[in-house]
Amino acid sequence: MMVLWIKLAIRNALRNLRRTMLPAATVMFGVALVVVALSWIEGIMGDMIESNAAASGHARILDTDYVAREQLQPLEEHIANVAPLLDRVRALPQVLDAQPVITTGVVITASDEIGDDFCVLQGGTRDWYEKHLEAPEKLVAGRWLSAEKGEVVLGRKIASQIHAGPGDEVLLLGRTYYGSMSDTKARIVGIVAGDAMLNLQAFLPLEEVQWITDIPGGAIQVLVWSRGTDARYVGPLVQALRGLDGMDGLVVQAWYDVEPWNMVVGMIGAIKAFMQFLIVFVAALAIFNTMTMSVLERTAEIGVMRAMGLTRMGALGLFLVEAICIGLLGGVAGAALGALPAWYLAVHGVTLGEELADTVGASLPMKATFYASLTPGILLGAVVLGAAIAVLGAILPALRAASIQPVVAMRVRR
Amino acid sequence: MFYIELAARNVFRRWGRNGLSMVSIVAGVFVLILGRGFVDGMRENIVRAQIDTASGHIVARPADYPTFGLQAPVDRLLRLDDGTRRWLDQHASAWTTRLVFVPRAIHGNESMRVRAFGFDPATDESVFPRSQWEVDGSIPGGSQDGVLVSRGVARALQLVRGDMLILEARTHAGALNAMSVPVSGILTARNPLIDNVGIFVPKPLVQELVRPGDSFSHLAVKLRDRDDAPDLASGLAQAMGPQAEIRTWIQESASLMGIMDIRQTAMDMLAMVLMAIAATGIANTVLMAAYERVREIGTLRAMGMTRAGVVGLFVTEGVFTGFLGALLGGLLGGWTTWSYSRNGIDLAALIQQAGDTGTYDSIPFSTILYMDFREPFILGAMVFGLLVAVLASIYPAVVASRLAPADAVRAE
Repeated sequence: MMVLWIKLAIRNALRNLRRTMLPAATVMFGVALVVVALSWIEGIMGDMIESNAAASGHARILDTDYVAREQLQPLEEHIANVAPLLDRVRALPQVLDAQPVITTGVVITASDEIGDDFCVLQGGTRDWYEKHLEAPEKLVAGRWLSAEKGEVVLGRKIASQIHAGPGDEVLLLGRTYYGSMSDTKARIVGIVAGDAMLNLQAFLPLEEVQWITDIPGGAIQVLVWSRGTDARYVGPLVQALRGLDGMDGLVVQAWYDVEPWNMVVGMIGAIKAFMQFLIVFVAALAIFNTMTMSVLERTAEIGVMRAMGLTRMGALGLFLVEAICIGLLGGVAGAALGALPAWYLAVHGVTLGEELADTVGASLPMKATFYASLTPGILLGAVVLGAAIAVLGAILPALRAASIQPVVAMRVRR
Repeated sequence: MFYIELAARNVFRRWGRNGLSMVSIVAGVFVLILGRGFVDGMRENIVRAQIDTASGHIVARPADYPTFGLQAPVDRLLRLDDGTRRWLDQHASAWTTRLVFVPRAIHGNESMRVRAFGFDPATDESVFPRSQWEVDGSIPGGSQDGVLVSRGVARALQLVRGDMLILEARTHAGALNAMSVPVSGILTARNPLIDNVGIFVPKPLVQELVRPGDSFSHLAVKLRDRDDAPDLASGLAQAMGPQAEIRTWIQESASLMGIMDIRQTAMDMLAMVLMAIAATGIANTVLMAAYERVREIGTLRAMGMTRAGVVGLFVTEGVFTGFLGALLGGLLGGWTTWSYSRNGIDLAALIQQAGDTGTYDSIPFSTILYMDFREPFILGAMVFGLLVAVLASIYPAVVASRLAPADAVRAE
């Protein structure tokens, strides 16, 4: 049956080439736009999600009260003894790695006078810096932290703000978790440059930040990385973490539950849905038009075939397959047409300027240049979208064809 | 006239089909108008907010001043000299100075760093209008009045009017200083630059806390015409010398305008593709109509209608569809942008959410977005839609005209 359908469908599609090409062109334009737009969104989002996951993990565990007032960075709401929790988390089969982190704001000074320059101080383990943040690879001057005490690495922006470079000594003035002032001196050994967030931070070994904040053996949060490559599906990981013992007073958040991602992800989803809906709707109209015409024109033919034993389903399938052929044709052409600009954007990108990245980048790891990402998945999805448009547009005319009565149809003069 | 009558009759003969291809023109025109209205509205919003809450038309700040994050050093400040005053007397319609600093605000056990705008009670409003402000309490003026706290700070530190707030800041000379001050009021400015982490401190109080003398961090100037800013900026730069960095509102909002340009391109592209889809849709419909009426065409041709006449007939039919579509799309888009240009869209809820993490802390814009409504553009979009319909129906009309009369009549 299938083979017959396809054979007939192709013959019918070729019977009136003009009529086939026009709706195919409609589908093509729509699909091309979807390809460009999706690869653009995918590129920007994918990039940000990736840098975010690398830096902040797929999920995080932290104190419930800390989350409630995260804006204030209430250091008193920390995880006091993090080692047992780390052991339990790392023992889970879904977990690739887990690392403790303390993040706190400090005043940073390179000269004798304590000034007004603030930066975000990260206290992390060597593994976090090297494997996940990949900070040592982002060095633009000097080297990464060694095992020695009293060394600090600065983001490029913050280093230029305090006019300091490798070899200079800086004073970091922070607070303990109970609010006393607390300071440490360190020598700058390296400068890193990356996304805007990284550029505004300073990096110390976890132990030294534990000392500044007076949280020995503790952490503000535990970042968790899931096994598996796609950062978008971390539901099982989060479930498993929530099921652990000793999680009283702690909360587990997937990366997309954390602000501003919770908002960004929803917004991007809405934009995608709106655009696809619009395209599908308008392109389906063209298919509908053609197929309606096709059915009317071939009423008599269908009547004969029905009389010869073609079932209703058969008649329905005949037109659906024809529409799918048109849809696939348009889909493939559209994917090819859209791939060109998408590929260009993927290679050359669009540069927005560092200033903007700095402004917005304080909370999103945004880079100055945006690249699209053209994946086989997007191209395949676009072709399928073309077929889906065709089915949607053809379903009503095909149903009409299926409802043709042989006797009535054959009475129509040819 | 004959054509139009015939075309109208033909369009309504197959109303469903023509209505469908009309919808695509409607969608194209609608998205074109809406996209422009939205992006241009956003542009004007950003520019206004930049001028009215952040920089005026021209702003002077210390050279090398950080423009990212919560950073506002007070160790290098600016002073007004006679040359600058003369320039201001000559060119400015209003000007004021501000001292922005970043104290730690402490209330009970909670503390957070806030962006403090040290403002001159006498002149500030002449440059930074307060028409969008909503104040629960009073705006402070003297050193005893206390500070005006933004909604975001009040929420984070759980402050109400009359509470005492401790401000801990560095003085101009670098010493650590702290003061306990009353909260004179809670401010909702509808601008995330202010609403999330801003507080307003009157100059006399700033004098006690930061001790800057007569120096300041920002000089904001309003001109008679904002378009003069690029021309006049160099004069101010000359008057103030290398200690200051002079920026116009155009330079200050340039990077955000970059985002707007991308949005604009995206919207235009979507509209263009919809138009392309509409074009093929219309071509398709007219072609269908031609095939359907082969016999009719034959009869008309046999009765002496020329080829050009047949082309005209079908083009008119396409134009008719296009005209209706463009009209409907234009009305729909025009009505939407018009109503949003009067009432505005409240982005507050959206911004509020992002505000907690500081995404928009450094970007001045109003949380009420007024779309841009301009008749010429809407008219232009409608004409464009019509043009697309005309062009799209030419090809099938030519196809129709090529059908030979004899063949056409025999077609039955």
